[in-house]
Amino acid sequence: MPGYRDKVMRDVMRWAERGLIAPDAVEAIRADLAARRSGFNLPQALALLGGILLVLAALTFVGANWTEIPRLVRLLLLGAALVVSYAAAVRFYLSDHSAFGQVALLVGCGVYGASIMLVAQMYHVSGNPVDAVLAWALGTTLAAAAFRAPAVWVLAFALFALWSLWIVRDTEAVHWAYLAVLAGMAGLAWWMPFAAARYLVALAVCAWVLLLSPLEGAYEGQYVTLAIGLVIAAAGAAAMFLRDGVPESVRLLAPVTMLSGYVIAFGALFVLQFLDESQLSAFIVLAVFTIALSIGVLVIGRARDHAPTLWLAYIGFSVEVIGIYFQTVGTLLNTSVFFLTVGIVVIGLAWLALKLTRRAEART
Amino acid sequence: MTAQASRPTFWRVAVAAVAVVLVQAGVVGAMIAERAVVLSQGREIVLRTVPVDPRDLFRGDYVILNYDVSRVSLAGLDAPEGLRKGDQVFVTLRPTEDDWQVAAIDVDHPQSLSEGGVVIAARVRFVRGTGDSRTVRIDYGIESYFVPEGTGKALEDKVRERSVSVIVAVADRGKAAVKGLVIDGQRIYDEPLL
Repeated sequence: MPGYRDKVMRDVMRWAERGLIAPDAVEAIRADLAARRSGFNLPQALALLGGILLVLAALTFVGANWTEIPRLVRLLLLGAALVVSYAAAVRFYLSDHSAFGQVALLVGCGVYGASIMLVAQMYHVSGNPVDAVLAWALGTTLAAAAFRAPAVWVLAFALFALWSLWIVRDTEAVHWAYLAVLAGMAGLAWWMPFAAARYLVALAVCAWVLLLSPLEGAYEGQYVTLAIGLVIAAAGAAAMFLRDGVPESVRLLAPVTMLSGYVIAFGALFVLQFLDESQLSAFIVLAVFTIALSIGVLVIGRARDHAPTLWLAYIGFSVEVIGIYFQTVGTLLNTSVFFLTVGIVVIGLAWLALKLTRRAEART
Repeated sequence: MTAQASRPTFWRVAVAAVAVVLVQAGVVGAMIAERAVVLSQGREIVLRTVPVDPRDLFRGDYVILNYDVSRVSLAGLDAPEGLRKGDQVFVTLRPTEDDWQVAAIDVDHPQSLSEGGVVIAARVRFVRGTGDSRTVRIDYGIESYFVPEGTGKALEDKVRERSVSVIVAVADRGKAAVKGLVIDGQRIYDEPLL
């Protein structure tokens, strides 16, 4: 994160100018930041884009169904590409270029998917691509595990998501097996270790829970979804406030758990308020509750100094207010009075927060 | 992308690569073997195609095939009650004078088979109506015919003229595979892979 490094260095220079830290320390901090650089640099990012283009080339090569080359030769070509990709991955890993190694693995898994497509094409297999996508996802998961490669994990995760969505579309029923897949993929990411995977897993859990109610087809279902979301959010929030001796894993997972719960609860509240037909009185209760929930998340984000929580709470609050505006414009409920009330309440909360902070500061 | 803490050893990486290649190539190989067995050992039947919605027919690289037996009226038919979209079913076909028709739909593979009949594993695409007036749309997995890029138009016209039949191989446990086409009475087979 160059942005973070620049920001820290600006502060460090300022502190050095004011004599708060020794000039030696400035150089030490600069060296530490340089050593800790992570994520993509330009060559790796370009290699990743190149790898994605190679995968697309393999897939369209199959799609074109070019009869000038016999099918057997096409199959052997893909087999050779498979071997070359993994040989390249071995080469890169051994020369300590694991990022390039991951791109080679991605190409290999793409070629594997193209080979499955070619078999389906050769034998005119139609209809359900579900099994083919599952076979692709499983093979890709194996590659991710064998090399502990995060980028390959992401591809496998995306393929599993596609597989599940296809099954849901075909059956219009809750896909329980996907929960087991999510647990397995989360366990794999834990073992690798690949910490950023938690965001993707959280996103998938949110989507799965939010799909429960529409697939079961019950109005009350949204209240169940809401309850699930609130329980998850409460558990995550409680974990965020644990003080001493908290394991690193809990510290990593607590915010993302709380935010998942918030997203799920917010989704259910949104449907109840704006997509279902609801009584005016029920609507007011739900709207007030949604705003209170968003403010609660905002307060937690502030208290734990967690920027993503703050941002998500701001977004939730804004979406809710815009929704209320569209829902109530020109109806019985006087929009202006509603906003006036909410505005006064929020400003009152700000004042209260200020008081509490002052008191806390006075005590220390 | 997080970098590995320590440099991996040659054997660890090489074994991982070989294992992944073997499994991935093995999966593709198993798929080919399974199809090859269906084609070589399956019983041959010939199904007539019917035109589908012309906008849907040609999809660039494959032609969508639709059969008389794809749309089934359940009136007077031996079929389970609670058929749902996405259900796996076994469809028993029996021969008529010049085509095939649906004799029964079962959830499990039927134990006994009427004279000359075949069973194909299929999937319910959707169910319309209620009770005896239900119609079911069935996917047999033989609804695509892949053609070289740019040659789909001609085949599409033939399908619309109702002069295309499909040679289907049906093997054990209802597995079916497209073996070739009959166009204007002439049989066209795909070359076998080997």
